[in-house]
Amino acid sequence: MIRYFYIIALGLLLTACGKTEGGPGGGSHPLQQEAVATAYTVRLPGRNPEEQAILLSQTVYPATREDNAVGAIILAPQDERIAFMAMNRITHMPVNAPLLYLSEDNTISEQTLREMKRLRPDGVIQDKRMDVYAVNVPKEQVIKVREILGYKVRTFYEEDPVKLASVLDMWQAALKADHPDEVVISAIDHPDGMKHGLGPMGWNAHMGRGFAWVYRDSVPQATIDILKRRYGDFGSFMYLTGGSDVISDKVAQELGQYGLVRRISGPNVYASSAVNAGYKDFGRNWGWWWDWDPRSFGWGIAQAGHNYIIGNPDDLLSMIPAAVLGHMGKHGPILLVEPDSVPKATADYLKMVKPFKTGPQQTILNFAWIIGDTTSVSLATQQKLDRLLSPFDIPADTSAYLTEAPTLQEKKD
Amino acid sequence: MKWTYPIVAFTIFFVLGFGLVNLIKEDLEVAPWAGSTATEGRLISHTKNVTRLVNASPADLHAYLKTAIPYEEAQTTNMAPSEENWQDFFIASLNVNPEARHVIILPGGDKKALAWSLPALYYAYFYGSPVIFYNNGELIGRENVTNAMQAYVLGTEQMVPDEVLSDFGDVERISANSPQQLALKLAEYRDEETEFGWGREVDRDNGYFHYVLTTPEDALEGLAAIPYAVSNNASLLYAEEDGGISGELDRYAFAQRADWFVTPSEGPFRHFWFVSNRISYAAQGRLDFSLEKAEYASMGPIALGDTEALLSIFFIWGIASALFVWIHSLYFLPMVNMPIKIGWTLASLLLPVLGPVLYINSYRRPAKEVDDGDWRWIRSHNQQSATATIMGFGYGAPLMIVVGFILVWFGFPIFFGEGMEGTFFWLGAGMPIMMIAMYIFAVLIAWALVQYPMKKSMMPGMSAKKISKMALITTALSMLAVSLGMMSVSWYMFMNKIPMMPKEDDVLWFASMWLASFIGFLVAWPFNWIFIRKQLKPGNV
Repeated sequence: MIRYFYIIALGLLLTACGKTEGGPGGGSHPLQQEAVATAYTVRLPGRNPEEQAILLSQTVYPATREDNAVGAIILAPQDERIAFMAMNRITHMPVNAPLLYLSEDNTISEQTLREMKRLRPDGVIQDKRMDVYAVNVPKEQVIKVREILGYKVRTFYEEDPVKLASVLDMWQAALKADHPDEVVISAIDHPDGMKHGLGPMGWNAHMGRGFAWVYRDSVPQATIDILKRRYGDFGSFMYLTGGSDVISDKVAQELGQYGLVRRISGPNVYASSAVNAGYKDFGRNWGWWWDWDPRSFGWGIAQAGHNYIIGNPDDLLSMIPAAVLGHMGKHGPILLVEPDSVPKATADYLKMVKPFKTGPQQTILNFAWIIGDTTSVSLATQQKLDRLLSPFDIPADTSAYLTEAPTLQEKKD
Repeated sequence: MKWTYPIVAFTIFFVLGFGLVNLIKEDLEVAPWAGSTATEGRLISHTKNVTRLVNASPADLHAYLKTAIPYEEAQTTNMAPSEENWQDFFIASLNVNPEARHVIILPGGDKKALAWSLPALYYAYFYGSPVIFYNNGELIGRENVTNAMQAYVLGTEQMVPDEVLSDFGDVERISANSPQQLALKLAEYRDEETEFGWGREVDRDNGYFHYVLTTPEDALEGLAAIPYAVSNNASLLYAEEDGGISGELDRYAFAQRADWFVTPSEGPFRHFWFVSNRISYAAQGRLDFSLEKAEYASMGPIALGDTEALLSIFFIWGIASALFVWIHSLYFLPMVNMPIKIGWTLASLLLPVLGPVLYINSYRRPAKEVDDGDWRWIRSHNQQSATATIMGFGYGAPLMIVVGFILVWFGFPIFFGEGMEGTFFWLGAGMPIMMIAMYIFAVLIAWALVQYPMKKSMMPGMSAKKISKMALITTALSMLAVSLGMMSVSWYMFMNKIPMMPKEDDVLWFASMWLASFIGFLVAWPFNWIFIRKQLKPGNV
């Protein structure tokens, strides 16, 4: 009997020995020509959010084996607030999930369904081996995923994003047996609230900390509930995304009852993204006699040798799933640019972290992903970014330092 | 009820054996899904650690890189490389370093010569090394270098014969059986004095290394991509002509996987640029995976991390210890009952070295037959405590690992919601549920199938109810003591020490459970001292 087991086990192992030869991998892919690569940037040229999300999951997850496929998949409608929150709370380990979108008519397109099939989720051990997290996805679409792909789906239904944040918080705590004490807080009712929050959202996709919403001038009850669940020595550590024009000082002070409040913000969304890339908060969190656990929030990157996810904040739905690039592979913060220019704050940041030669056999290198097609970020902007990321000199371009005052080139009345 | 012991042992052997076979199987697999679903519907060919420059020809790639890498320092000459002009293309593109400390002598001529020369051309382009080509019996470019420079000859003696090198002072030949192997050799080679070679060895934990990958047949594409040698410090490596990669390249690429200590956003980052269309998607998936950053402890799947290696040794010693005890007891201790032998074997599995030491110490003692076929050994109180611990631990601890494995395999149930919030929210979390389930199921199985029949056979005069109660109490208490150490250590390992909780197909999962069990035994041992004293457990069987 035991002999048969040995034979079966040995047979399994022998048949498992793999190979890498195969047909040419550099075949024709529909968007390959648009996926322009320079020395230090590669463009992921999605023409719409749905396609962008697929490009991102294809880039991060080759899916040739279990270890480079996904843990799970996040499925969400094209609703910025839902997608933003899902990326903040679900993507990171132990879930390990990219975000895919429903079509604009709230159904799963054939392209997305095929991508879901390609991704072959391993299932989340800490959650009954769930394969898909469907956030506000219509029931018939969930059934489709279950029946066609045979995946295990956990659904979250909550129309109010503020309350949904609380639901996701409770679910995450069950995964990790912990409520992470650091909480990113963004304004849901400010038009630029999420744009300021894109950078910290990237950190959450990278490190899996907490998230809650506030209104510009008030704190909702669901957020108070989230904050009260934290047991750090100072309660929660809150990181407000945006200045007092986005989240008022009144709100900041009210939040102060529940812990330490910090802001990650600049005068505009581009500056906020640059501040976030360099932001680091560390120090005391929680300790007991023998063990202690510091807080450590933010990328804190102020030196060469890192990677960035660069895109246009106006294409919010495309930028949100791009945070998965900070979760695997090149792991770096999100920086924001305009379609045809690199705003001063972003350019100054990149100049600060500019690479240089570090030894006879090497140069320290930076790298960036460019999100979106050329209408989102032009080729010229990609080239400018490449130069900023490079270890080579930047030709003097004084125009980058001009203020936003009206141009003097034409005579005014 | 003698059948229960082998059933329990078989279950443990089967489940853990299955887990280990599955672990080895998944590590041996390379790209099992590459041929089926992995490429379906792909819109682009880039992946996170591999960029593919899909091109129609070397000239096409050359033209593309002229604009994609516009930096003067990296720019090649305007003419596109071809089979006929590749030497001239390189020489026209090269900016010689006036302070170069070496000269490189390479085979010149046909495409085959290019394939052998290309890895060195990349370093020469990066450093500015003077290059001499040997072609048709001539050394082309000899007049530009002095004899005092250290000369490196790349390729076999048939390609560049020794006799043509006689007037160079110091000559070192670097050769290999194939261009693929030569490229790898050069990637690792470094001489600090002469500043030759990339020095990208296995133990280089720092350094931003990029690689251009092509095949010898597509060496011209590799030459067209030579700007990457300057812009991205890229070494050239070769895939095989069939689109796959060799075992040597696989080993090398995994050695280039960088670790992280605080977060994976730390450098260094490494990258492949593929310039040959014929390299397969399976090879791309493999190399993309090989460079994926991993935490120090385990170095991720397939690669072996330092902590993982240390714990694996511990784990392997456990298997060796169990084999020793099992074989030894079968041949040399016929008077020991089978359930006891199984108990010692299973315990030794989790107690590397310590298990066999305690086993030998327990049986190298005077013994007497108290009943027909029922032997007792004269042991100290401590030794009796150890034996009593082994009898509970030997069955209980592996059962806990089995329950843990099954839960990890199928996933933890979790419970959350408003009702679960509050001080005890963590009772709905997967890890505590796993721990509680491990304890309860292991106690129930060990009680019903091991401890009850064992006690019954030892105390035939006692009522079944009393034995049952006594067995349950001692099993529950003994396992509680084991759990105290085991659960604390497994929590520490999975939730604290190792940044990414290992999965069921990770050797670190098994190894951590082994370590946790070992500590569990050490904690339970003193508790069993009390059981012996109170005569709740036998310690001399």
